[in-house]
Formats: sequence, C-alpha cells, structure tokens
Amino acid sequence: MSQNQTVNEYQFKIASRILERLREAIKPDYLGLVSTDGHSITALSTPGFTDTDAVASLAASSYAATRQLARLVSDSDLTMMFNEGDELNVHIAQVTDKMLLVVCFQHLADMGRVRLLTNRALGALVDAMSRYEVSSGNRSNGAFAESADEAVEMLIAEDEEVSDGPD
Amino acid sequence: MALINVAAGEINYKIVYYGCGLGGKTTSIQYVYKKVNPGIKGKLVSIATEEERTLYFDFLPLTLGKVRGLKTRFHLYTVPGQAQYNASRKLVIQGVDGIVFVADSQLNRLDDNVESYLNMWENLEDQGDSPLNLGLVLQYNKRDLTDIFPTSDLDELLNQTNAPAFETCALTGEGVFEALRNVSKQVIANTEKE
Ligand SMILES: Nc1nc2c(ncn2[C@@H]2O[C@H](COP(=O)(O)OP(=O)(O)OP(=O)(O)O)[C@@H](O)[C@H]2O)c(=O)[nH]1
Ligand SMILES: [Mg+2]
Repeated sequence: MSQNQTVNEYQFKIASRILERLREAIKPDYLGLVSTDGHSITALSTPGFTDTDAVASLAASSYAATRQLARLVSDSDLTMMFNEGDELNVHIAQVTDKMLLVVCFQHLADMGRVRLLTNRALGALVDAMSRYEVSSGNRSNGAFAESADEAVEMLIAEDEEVSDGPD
Repeated sequence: MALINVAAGEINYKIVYYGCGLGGKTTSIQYVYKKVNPGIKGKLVSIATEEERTLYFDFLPLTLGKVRGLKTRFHLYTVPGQAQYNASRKLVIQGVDGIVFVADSQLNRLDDNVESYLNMWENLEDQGDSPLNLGLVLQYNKRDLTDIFPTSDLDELLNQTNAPAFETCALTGEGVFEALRNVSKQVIANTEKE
C-alpha cells in the first residue's frame, strides 16, 4: 500500500495560524485545507456550517477533474481554479502534491485584494508545508487497531431503532 | 493511504465501492446511509445523471469518534460503473485504502463483472497500488434474483486474491454491513503494518 499521508504538529499549527489570519482579512464562508484525496485537514467556516466533509470531498474531486481535463485537452498543468458565481466564489489552489487550499467567499467589492491576500497565504502555506515535512508517520501501536476494530463492530451496524436520522 | 493528522488527532480512511454499472454500488451505500447509527453519519452526496446512474461518485462520511485519542473516520465512495467513465473512476480511487467490489450475480452480467474487476486491477496498478496490499472484500450482490451464478463460480471468476466474499442483497441490505465492517477492519490493520 502507498504510504500514509501524515500532517505533523508543526505543519498543522502553522497552517492553522495562516488560515486564521486569512479568515480575519477576507471573512470567507468556508476556508480549508483539504487533501487531494478529499479528506478535510482543517477547516474554518461560518458558525452552524457543518458539512465540511462534503465540501472537502467535492472541492478535491472537482479540482482533480478539471486538472485532468486540462491535461487531456492541452497537456498542460493547472494548479489553481477560480469559479465565480452570482453569490459565491470558489477558489482552489494546490499547496503541495497532496494538499489543496479551498476558499469560498461572497462577492466582495475588492476582489483584487482577496486574490492578493489568498495568494500570500498560499505562499506562506507552501513554504510551511515543505519546510516542516517529515517522512510518513507510522503508528505501530497494536492497541489502536484493537480499539478501532471494537468501534467498527459497535458503530458500523444497522440501527434498528431509527431507520432514518436527521440529515 | 490513510490521512493521519497528528496535531488534530484524526485518522481518515477512504473506502471505495467498485464494480460494473447497475451492480448495486449506489444502492449499497444508500442502505448504509439509511440504516447506520445517525450519530456517526454525515450527509450523503451523490453526483448522478438524470437517470440516477452515478456520474462521478456517491460520498458518505462516517465518524467513529475517538479511538485511543484518534478521531477515526471512514469516507465511503462509489465509482461510476459504466465503462465510459474510466477517467472519473481513476480520480475517485486516488488514495484509496479499501475496496468493496460489488459483483452483479446475474448470469448475463458475467462479462461486465470480469471487465470491471480487471479494470479495477489496472487502475490500481496505474496509481502504484495493488489489490493485494489494500483492504478488499467482495459483495456477490442481487442474491435475491433467480438467474444467478452459484457463489463458487463467482469465486473462481472474480476472487483472484481470496478476499472475504459476502452474499448480499443491497435492496434489503442483507450482507452489506458485514462486508463494510470487514473491509474497515482490514484497512485499520493495514495502517499498523506500515
Ligand atoms: N433485485 C435486486 N436489485 C438490486 C440489488 N442491488 C441493486 N439493485 C437494483 O439495481 C439497479 C442499479 O443499482 P445501483 O445501485 O444504482 O447500481 P450502481 O452499481 O450504482 O450503478 P452505476 O451507478 O451505473 O455504476 C437499481 O435499480 C437497484 O434497485 C439487489 O441486491 N437485488
Ligand atoms: Mg451508482
């Protein structure tokens, strides 16, 4: 199996700080780091917004699809995607081979400033991720597997009481 | 390839339902969504055609909560089974940890099953993975129908790695959770191996 992808403490702390600062500056609806495989690494969003897993999955796959499309059509690579809607803009940029920055924000008067700040944050993220990269971590702790198996048995099971939960 | 976020204390696994078109992948994941403990499931997201065929994927996140201090999550995906969607299938299986291969047990779907199984093998090898190293289970689906292969035939045709195989009916959910629990445990065991 290919190696696990690990985000270490340093990377996470620095990334969280960079994202926090970007959030203060542009007040996005959603701001997150997402693995190219579609897992959410860290996300900041407006209160009450809970679908960060779905956003991560959709952002990573739409980016992957568009990137693949560019390769097929013109054999060119794409490291950024910018979708402008009537209300919401979605900006996706590659941070590392395995990591994306996703920003969703409302139309703002000063789009140039948003782009500038996002690009700055992106630069800082790229720098932080490569500087503190370590080889893939392993958890050779058999206790985790044992407990995780128990959780699987208990939780991934048919719930007889409720046939459909709240969405 | 599990994503381990040490600082946030999270571990994420990706499990993909693979198999030929109309085999029952989406129905399986819908059953899981309908019947699983509401406390652990997120929203089911489906990108499908007007005719309800999967166009890109279905996605369902399950969060087991903390296991030994690690928030453990499984992200379930389906691929689009129709042959022409191979480019999309390749994207969905990026970073996969475990596969549930959903075979259509009907006699007239033999070629489609075999083609899909080989296609899975090829796509995994293209990305540097192998069905031998990933979590893998098979669902022999649509066991409720009449013109179907005996499981011994399906074993011979589709189970080259001797993976655990489950007789399922995705419509009623029979066997679906058993298969999912089995592959989940396999991928957990694989994290430890590395
Ligand atoms: N009788 C029976 N029908 C089933 C079973 N599982 C799925 N079906 C039916 O088969 C049809 C196709 O099922 P889907 O789950 O959409 O198939 P899929 O594998 O997702 O197909 P694609 O999205 O095209 O790849 C639907 O009409 C289902 O109701 C089963 O176990 N028994
Ligand atoms: Mg489907």
